[in-house]
This record gives sequence, C-alpha cells and structure tokens, in this order.
Amino acid sequence: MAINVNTVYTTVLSILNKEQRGYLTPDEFNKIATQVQLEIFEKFFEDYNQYLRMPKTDVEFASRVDHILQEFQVFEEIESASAQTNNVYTQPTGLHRFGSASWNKGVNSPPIEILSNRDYNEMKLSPLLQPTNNFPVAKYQKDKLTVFPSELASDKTDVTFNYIRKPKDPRWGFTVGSLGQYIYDPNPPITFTGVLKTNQDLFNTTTGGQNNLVNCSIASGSSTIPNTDITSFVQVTPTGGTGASADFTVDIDPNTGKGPLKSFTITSGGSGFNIGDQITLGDGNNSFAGSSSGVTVFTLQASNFVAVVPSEGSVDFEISDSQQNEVILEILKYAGVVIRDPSIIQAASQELAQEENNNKR
Amino acid sequence: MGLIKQNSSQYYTGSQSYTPDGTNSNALTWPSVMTPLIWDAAATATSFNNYKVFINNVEQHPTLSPYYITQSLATTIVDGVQTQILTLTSTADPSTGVITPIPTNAILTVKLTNPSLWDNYKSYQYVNIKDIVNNFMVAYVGVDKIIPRVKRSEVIFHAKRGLQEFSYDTLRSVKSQELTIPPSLSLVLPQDYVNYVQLSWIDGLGVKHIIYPTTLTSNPSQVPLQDNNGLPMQDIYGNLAQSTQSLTNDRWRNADQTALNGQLDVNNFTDADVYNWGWWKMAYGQRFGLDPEVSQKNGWFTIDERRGVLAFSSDLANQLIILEYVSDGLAYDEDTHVPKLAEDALYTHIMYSILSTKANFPEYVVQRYKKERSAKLRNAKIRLSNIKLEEFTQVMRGKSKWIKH
Repeated sequence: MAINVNTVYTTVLSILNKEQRGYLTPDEFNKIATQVQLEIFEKFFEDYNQYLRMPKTDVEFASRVDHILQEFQVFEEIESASAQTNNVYTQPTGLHRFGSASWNKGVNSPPIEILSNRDYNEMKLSPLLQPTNNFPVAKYQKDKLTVFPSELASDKTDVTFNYIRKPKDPRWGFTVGSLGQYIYDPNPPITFTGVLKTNQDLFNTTTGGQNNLVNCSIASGSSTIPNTDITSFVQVTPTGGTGASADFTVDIDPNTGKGPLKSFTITSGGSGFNIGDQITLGDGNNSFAGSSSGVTVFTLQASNFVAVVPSEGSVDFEISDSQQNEVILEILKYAGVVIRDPSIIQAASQELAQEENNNKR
Repeated sequence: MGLIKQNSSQYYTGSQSYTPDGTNSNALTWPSVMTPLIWDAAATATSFNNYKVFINNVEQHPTLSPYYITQSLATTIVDGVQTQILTLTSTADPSTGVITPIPTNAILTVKLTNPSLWDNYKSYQYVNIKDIVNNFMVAYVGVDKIIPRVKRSEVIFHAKRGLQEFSYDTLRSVKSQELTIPPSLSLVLPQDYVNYVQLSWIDGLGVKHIIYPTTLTSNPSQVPLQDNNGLPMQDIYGNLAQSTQSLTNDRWRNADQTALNGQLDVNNFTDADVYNWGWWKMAYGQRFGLDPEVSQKNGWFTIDERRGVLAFSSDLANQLIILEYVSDGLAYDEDTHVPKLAEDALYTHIMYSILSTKANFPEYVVQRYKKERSAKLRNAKIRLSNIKLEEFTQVMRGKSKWIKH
C-alpha cells in the first residue's frame, strides 16, 4: 500500500518545527520526496540481487526475497510494444528496467531470448539454433527489439514486454486558504480541466445590439436551441468529446430570425470538453456570419478552457508503506541539507545506517 | 489437468462437423486441440492439404456440382493462441452461373486425411522437443538450483544434439521405406538418411529376407579419365575429368550371382551323365566347404558414395525391398519428438552437457551427472528395446529352453 504524502509531509514538518529547525516549503518537499523515492526504489534491485545470494528462508513474513519482490511488484507492467516496423519492436514508453519479452506469434507465447549482436551472428551460423516461432530470439538495441524469425511480424502486439516502470513523482498539492495558508488538496492532479471559460465570445464580434438571445445546453451528440422561433434552423452540435452542460448565448438578427451571427458567448463552462471538439451552428440552409456552407463551426482551442492550477492535486508515494520510516528519515536528511543543519543530517543518517545494518545482517 | 486435450471423437475420427449458415460463404473454426490443418494458400484451391471437406458425406472439390466449393485457410496466432478458420465458399456453376449456398440442414464435415490422423494416433507416446526445453528451463534452471542461469539457446542446442545421439542407438526411431529395385539396380538414399539398419527383399508371402552388404566389390569414389600413359586427364578448366560410369560397377551389375555364391542350378542335379565333364566341371572338387559370407542367395548391396545411392546385385532387379534406416530426429518438424520412455534420459543428457561445459564448476557434480546420464540412458535403452517377458519366454521355448515365469 502506498504512503500518504500528507502523512509524510506533516510528520517531517512536525519534527522540524519541534526542534525549531526551520520550515520546508511544499515545493522543496516535493523535490526531496521525488529524490528519496527514487533512491529507495533503485535500492530495491540491488537489495534483491544481494538477498538472492544470501542464505534464504521460505518461512512466511521472514523471507527477504519475498519481501523485496512485494516491494517492487507495484511497478511491474506487462505491455505490448509501443510501435512496430517489420520485425523491429519499440519498447513501451514507460519502461525503466527491462525484464523479459514474449513472442505472441509462437504457440503459448514463448519467451524471446535476448542476444548481443555478436551472439546473434554466431547463432545464425548454426543450423541447430535457427530461430523459430517456438524459439524466438532478438537483438536489443536503441530501445528496440529486432525479433527473429521475422516472417510473421505483423503488429506491435506480437511482442509483450514485462518491465518495471519508474514510480510517479510524489507531490503534496494544496489550495490557498482565505488567510493565505496552504490547505492540503487530496485530489489527484489534473492536466486538463475540460471546463470552458465563461463570458468568452467564441464569435469574437463587437458589432450589433441586443437581439434575439437564446440559451442552450450542450450535451454529447446534437442539441437544438430551445426557442420556438429559431428551433427550425439553429443547431448546436459538439463533436469529438463527451462535453456536457455548457450554456451559450447566441445573438442573431431578430427580424429574420436568421443570420448573420453577432456573438456566441459561453455563459456556463460545463465539463468534459476537449481541445478540438467542434460546435456547429446552422441547419444547412441558412448562413451565419456569411458562411457559404450554411453552418458555422467553432473548434475549441486551449485558450477556450479554464487553466489548471499547478499547485493543486496530490500524488502519494508509490512505494510500499513498509518504507515509510525510511522515507521520513531520508527526507529529514535532505531537509537538514536544505536548511543547513548538520545535526539533522547526522541523526537521520545514523538512524538509516542502523536500519540498513539490521536488514542486511 | 490431464495431458489429453482432444475428446474421444476428435481423436478417433479426426473430424469436426459443422452446421452451414445458409450463405455462400461458411467460416469454420477448426478446434485448436486438433492437429492443425495444412493448406498452401499460395497454390491452387486443390493444392496439397491434410484434410478433406464433406457435405452430407460427399467429398467436395472445386469442380463438383452443385456447390463448386473453393476454400481458404487463415491461421493466426494472437497472444500465443493459434486459431484456424477454414472458409468454404460456394462458387458459380460454370454452365448456368448460379451460386448454390450449402443448405442449413446439410452436415459439413472437415476430416483429417489418414497420414495426419495416424500421426495423431501415436502422438501420446511422444513428447515434443519444445516441451522438453520448456520443462527443463522450469525444473532445472533457476535460483537455488544446480544451474542458476543458462541461455535458452544452449538448452535447445544440447536437446537437439541429444536427440540426434539418442536417435542413432537408443530411440526406436528406425524409419523404413518400401521400394522396388529398378533395372538400373540403384536406389537413391532417402533425404533424411544417416545410416542403414537393414535391407530385406520381400517374398510372395510378405516375409523379409535380409540383403547383406558385400565386400566382394566396392564403389570407387572417383573415376578419372586417363590418357594412354595412364595419367588423369583434365577438362578445359583444369579440373579432373571424370567418367560418369564406373567399370567396376558395370561388371558387378552384370555378374552372374550363382558364380559367386556357389548356388547350383537345376542342370547340376538333372545331368546324370557322369562322363559329361565340361572343362568347368574340373573345378568341382575345389570347393572345400562354404564361405558363409557369400553362401546366400538373397543378393548383395553396396553404398555408392560417389552417386549417393544404394547399389544392388543383379539378382535383385525388380524385387520389392524394405529399406530400414536411422535418421537424426531433426530432419522434419514433426520428427522432433522424443519417446516418453527416454524423456528423463534427455533431461539428464542436457544437464550433464551444460554442466560439463561450465567453467569453474565442481568436478564431482559433473561426474555425478555423468553417471546419472549413463544410468538413465541405459534405462531408456532397456525400456525401448521392448523386452516383454512373455515374448522372451516364447522365443526361448523355440530354443527348447524353459524359463520359469
């Protein structure tokens, strides 16, 4: 189970404040936390190797090998190649440590033996060792697997990678309170809001007065402006996304009930919209804004959306909570560097060394 | 989970029945547990395959009315699972242009042909070399085992080499061909020939009579042309000029076999005229006893390495023979299987071969596996020599020797 980032941050702050040693800002904490998580994560593999060479026990809860496997199983992924050209398969984008690869063109997906270029050149000279679909081999170069036999290669799903990905960077996210204080934001961070900016005129015209104002709600699929006067010829159709519940104000000529369009303003942002979604006005027979095709199309751009607040949203440590103690001590060690207090570094280092000794004894 | 995947019907009949969907094109999924269908899609609709298609027990082909069935076979392997879809398409009657779909009340049957079915029948006594390698990697290689790490290709190499070695003297992998000796008295060696086991001619009762190799003649490996001085001649490129025919072979082919094996013909017995002594009868008294090597009338053969053929003596012309020979078990994909009785011997062979080539490995462990390999190979040989006590006793009864059992 992951370690809650707020627990770690508040614990670290408590220790630092108790000793009157200073304050660690969220940004400093986030950077140190990322560094600490990576250090512990990379140490898993060295520890695993070391444990394999030590005398082992299979008694439950006592097996170090089992324990370390549990530590990094969260990061294990099984995924198809990210791209394929002939018999060359590109590794998945998130691959951090390669484990194995299997050949799905062979019955029961046999493992692919990875060879150096030299080994492959020697192997192909041996009639007994010609690669087959049951005994596939590959060269691993430039993040790509060149698989042999190559005849059946057809799709990126031919090769499945088993690999370890990197942990996500932990982040203590916050909103700013009314007094300027930081309030922990437990929600996951978002990269895109999907909410349209209000009071924005998509048509971007300033001419004309108050005319026939009509409100409409956009849902996925097509939506018709609910005004009996103009229902017959105005349609608002978002395409390409799952956007819903946005309201618009349409300003058109009151005398004809038809174009030209004067403004198209967002009054309520809705949610679930994407860049590239299209909003179409028109019935195919009448023109807005002089469009000869009888329709006017607005394509939503990044500037039409409410921006993401960078400090909001949190990400927990992905490493297991059995590492919580080590995470806090390591962060304290680095915090000592940041706030220039050697006694913190020393105390944390001693504690960590003792723990390490106990583990490897 | 049991090792047998086919149900009784699939095993014994080698066929699968389907209900047509009433359209012009029926896509039939062949069960993955059965012997895969083979059809060369690049060839014609009637090209080589290992199955036949029947509609209401009538075998179909592209020129048969009313369906004029053509076929295509798609084999896909997705996520390691092989799927075969056989699509049977009704085509237009060449005279009327009318396409007749297979009616839904008909029974469509796809049936393996006999050679594939027979292969399937005997399949349970063998284990595939692919499975041998996979089993070995699982059971013998890994952390805390004697072999902590080994390349898969190394295991494949030793498995295949082991299969080759076992094929020569341990496995019952003797192949045999029934052939007729042509007037040229030569038969080309089989494609996967490694060595012969026995050649026999077959009499009218189907009984085998062993044909022995002979040392009376031999086949030259080179037949250089010579000039008047006896020097070998060269062609215009400076290479040795050779005759295509060997005179030794010619003389052997034309030899009267009775002159070699001492067999008397009927005249020797019916000619009662004791004074009728031809010059050749003067030699009668010179045959003291018989030389068993040549005193047989089954004919002889030699192996002509120059031409890659088995050469027979003239008395065997037009005879039906059985050629038994050994291959190395790797010639064809379907050959690469090992009798289950020798499976363990092959594992220990791979084990020993890998350990003996590892650097810095304790010699006592290597020796342990050397002994184990030897013992298991001996076990396999005994098992595969197929000695059954009752059969053995019966043979001994013929020898007037009683064996209690």
